[in-house]
Amino acid sequence: MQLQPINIGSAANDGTGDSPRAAGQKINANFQEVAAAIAQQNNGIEQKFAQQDGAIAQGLAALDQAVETFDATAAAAITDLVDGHAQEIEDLIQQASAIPAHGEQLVAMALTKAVSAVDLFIYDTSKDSDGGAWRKRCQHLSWYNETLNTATRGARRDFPAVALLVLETTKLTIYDADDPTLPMWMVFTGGYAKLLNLGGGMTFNSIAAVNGMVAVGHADTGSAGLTLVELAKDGGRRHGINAVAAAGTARFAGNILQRNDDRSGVIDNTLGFIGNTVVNDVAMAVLPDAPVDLITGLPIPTIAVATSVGVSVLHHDGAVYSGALTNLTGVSITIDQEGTIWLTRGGDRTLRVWPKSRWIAASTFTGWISDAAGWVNVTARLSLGRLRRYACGGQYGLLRAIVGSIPDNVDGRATSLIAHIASSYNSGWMAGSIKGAWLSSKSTSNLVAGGELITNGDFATNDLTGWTDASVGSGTVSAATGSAVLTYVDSSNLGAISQGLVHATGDELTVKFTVTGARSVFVQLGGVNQNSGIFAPGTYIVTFVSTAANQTLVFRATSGTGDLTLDNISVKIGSADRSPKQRGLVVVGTIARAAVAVGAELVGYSGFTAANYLEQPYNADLDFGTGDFSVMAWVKRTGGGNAEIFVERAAYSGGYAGSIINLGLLSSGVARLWVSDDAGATADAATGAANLINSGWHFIVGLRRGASFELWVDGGLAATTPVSAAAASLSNTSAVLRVGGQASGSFVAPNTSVALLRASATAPSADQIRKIYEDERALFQDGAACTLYGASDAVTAVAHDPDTGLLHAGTSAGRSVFQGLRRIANTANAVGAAIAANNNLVADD
Amino acid sequence: MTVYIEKPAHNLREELAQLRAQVQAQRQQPFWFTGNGTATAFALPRGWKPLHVYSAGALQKEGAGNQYAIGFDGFVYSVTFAVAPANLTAIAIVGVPA
Repeated sequence: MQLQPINIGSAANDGTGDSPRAAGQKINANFQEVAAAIAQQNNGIEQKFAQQDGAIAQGLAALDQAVETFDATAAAAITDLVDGHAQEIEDLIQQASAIPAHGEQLVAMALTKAVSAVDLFIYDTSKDSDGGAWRKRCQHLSWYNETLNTATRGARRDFPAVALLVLETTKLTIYDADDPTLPMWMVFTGGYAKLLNLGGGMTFNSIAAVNGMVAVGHADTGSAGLTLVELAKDGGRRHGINAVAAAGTARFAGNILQRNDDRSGVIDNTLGFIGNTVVNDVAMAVLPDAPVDLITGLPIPTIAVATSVGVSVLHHDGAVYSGALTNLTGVSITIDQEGTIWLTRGGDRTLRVWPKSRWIAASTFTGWISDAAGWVNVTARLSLGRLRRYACGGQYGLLRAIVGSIPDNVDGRATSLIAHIASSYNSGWMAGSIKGAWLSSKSTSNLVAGGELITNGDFATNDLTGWTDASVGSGTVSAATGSAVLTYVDSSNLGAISQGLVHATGDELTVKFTVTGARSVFVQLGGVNQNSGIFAPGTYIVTFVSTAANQTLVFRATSGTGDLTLDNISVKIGSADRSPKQRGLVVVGTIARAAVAVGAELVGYSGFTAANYLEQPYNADLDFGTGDFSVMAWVKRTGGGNAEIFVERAAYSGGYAGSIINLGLLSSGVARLWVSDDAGATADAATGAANLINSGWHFIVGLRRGASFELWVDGGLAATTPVSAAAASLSNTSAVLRVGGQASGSFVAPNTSVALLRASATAPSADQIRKIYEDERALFQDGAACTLYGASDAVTAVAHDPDTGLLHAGTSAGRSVFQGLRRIANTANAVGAAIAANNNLVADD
Repeated sequence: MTVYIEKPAHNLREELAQLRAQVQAQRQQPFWFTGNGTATAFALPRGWKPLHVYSAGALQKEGAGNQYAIGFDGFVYSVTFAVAPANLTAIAIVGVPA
């Protein structure tokens, strides 16, 4: 319907317009029309919106589906992509992780190689004469251009800056230590007429490297035992006892690419012969006056070779100098930067030292340092660190030394410091002519006196009651005259006696006996070498540490003339002496032992009273006469109002007689060295000034140096006094050594703990005292370890890290790492053959 | 058996600092002494090692049978003349870090 306009006429009230009712009707109709139209429009819009909503919804749903489809497809595609390149991605991740964060960190290495090494060497070319620059001048050499990624050649052409050389019985593998995964760089196979010469059935044993040259030794009975791989010259040569092309002294007839081929050799009469084909160890060094090699431009190394008959030195000038030595089983050799050769050999306690001035003059070994190669049976290679810090290991522990003057025709022991470290003790530094090193255990069990363990030790019954006749062959023993008399014909016919003892495993037994006549006695406990010794006529107190319970003590006649006479045999529970003298202390009463700090291994000895002390019977080694001597110990006093003497050597039987030497802390807490030569009538005293009571552990040294007595406290000179009242001889053949009080039983030390007590016939230098103090005070810190890790004393390998100064020592329990005398770390992987260490990179097998 | 290899993480800045220290360690330093006609032994400061020895301006020769010998007690290097330098003789020992 159309809208109806209202007729409003021509003029108001002219009667021509719509009536009001009619107008209203028209208005209503019009509004109805408009409302209907609007409603219709709304319906249309809603319908359209609904349609559009539906379309939109359908569209959105379609879009969702498409996205899901895309996601799934894309994910699948990505997954396929990743799976197909998993290794590449992994490699990239590894490389990325190897990239230092902010360029500051190189990741750690910790990996294994499933090989059995007989020797290891970390070749750090930065220590070569040219800093390793020769590695960049090898592009023309055969091995540089060798096909990579084979069974005997790795993926890298140039020689690594740092390489790990792993020598197996018949093979040498060089690993790239620049790469944290240590991939193989090159393999040499040993064999007759190969570059790495190896006789049939023989095995390699030693390796060294410097200035582009690798030296490998083996104990060959026929062909050359020394091979030199000349990387920088792309060749090699062998040294034996004669010029033989195939496997004797000759140049390898090929290059390094041909290293594993049978190539025989080329005779070169300029090559020198070594003393024997049996090579047991090899070492290299570049001496200051070394000439430069014509081909490589590198200074020529000097090579020291230990053979079965001595030492041969292949000097850098081509000459070979040889010196004879015997008993070279288990030999270990090194050469230092001055050309001095250091050598140890199995079963020998002596370190041999051969200065260049001697070997170049073709003289025999003239230098030695006694008791500097382990007490018995050196089996591990020695290792020389900077500034003559030296170490070697053996069946019964690790020996560390700071060697003083290089001896020439004299024993260099007097100027050296030596420490002996085992799994159960650390002797501390022993200076010079050491006479005893006590109180060095890590056991916290009390020491309890056990009485006399020997029956009829004085043969007062005029027979062998309590003893077993252990004579061999036609040898005899009798005791009819109040002492045991043992005959000797030869080593198969000799007199011997034995007695079983009652004790616990690990008990430290102090064995006292007197030998008279002109024949020596062999004494042994439990049949083990470490508890044995040969003693010339005299009176002895030796300490054996039992390796099992209830062992048998044996006395056997040995070298000399006439019969062997034995008497006054006594065995008591004691406290071991860890010096070569093995003269222990006898326990009287009960002595307590406790860690010197919380969790520390070293223990302090305490509980001293008039009835509880440690004592050593007369020991002639402590008769210092008018010569230098020193007594040193760590002490801690925790109170008390009296003077406390912690060690005294004197004779007392109702009164003092002869010389008296004692160290103690007075009632004021100051330390004092007190020395008298007339039973105390007069005395010289060097007295400190600082009160040491209730201030922890302190290092006290009392010594005589020439015409002065000195007292050192904590590495500093605390007091000195001239030798005046005590100028006469301080020897005293009735003196005992008592720990924990005076020999008279007075001025005991109930408030004093004592550790690392030592006595020496040498007055250590100021530098040595300072060194001892600084190294040993590290053992008095909480948690300080000071022994070999584990329970084994048998050291199989040692190595100094030349960059860090750390010393690594390996046993069947693992590798112990020492900084000074303190063990700072360890592994639990058994070490059986070798250790190599350089700039914190450590390899062991 | 097995070869075990390990090396802790290392800071490159620290490595560079160590290398700089090695360069510095190559320096030489003369130490002067004066002879008095009786003294034969002259000790260098701890941490130094003799490289060349001059007496009255003349370079001396080391070794047995020569003008001097070098000693080391484990801590300090010393030069011992076979014949004591005359009174007021200028002695120069050029040292390198030990």
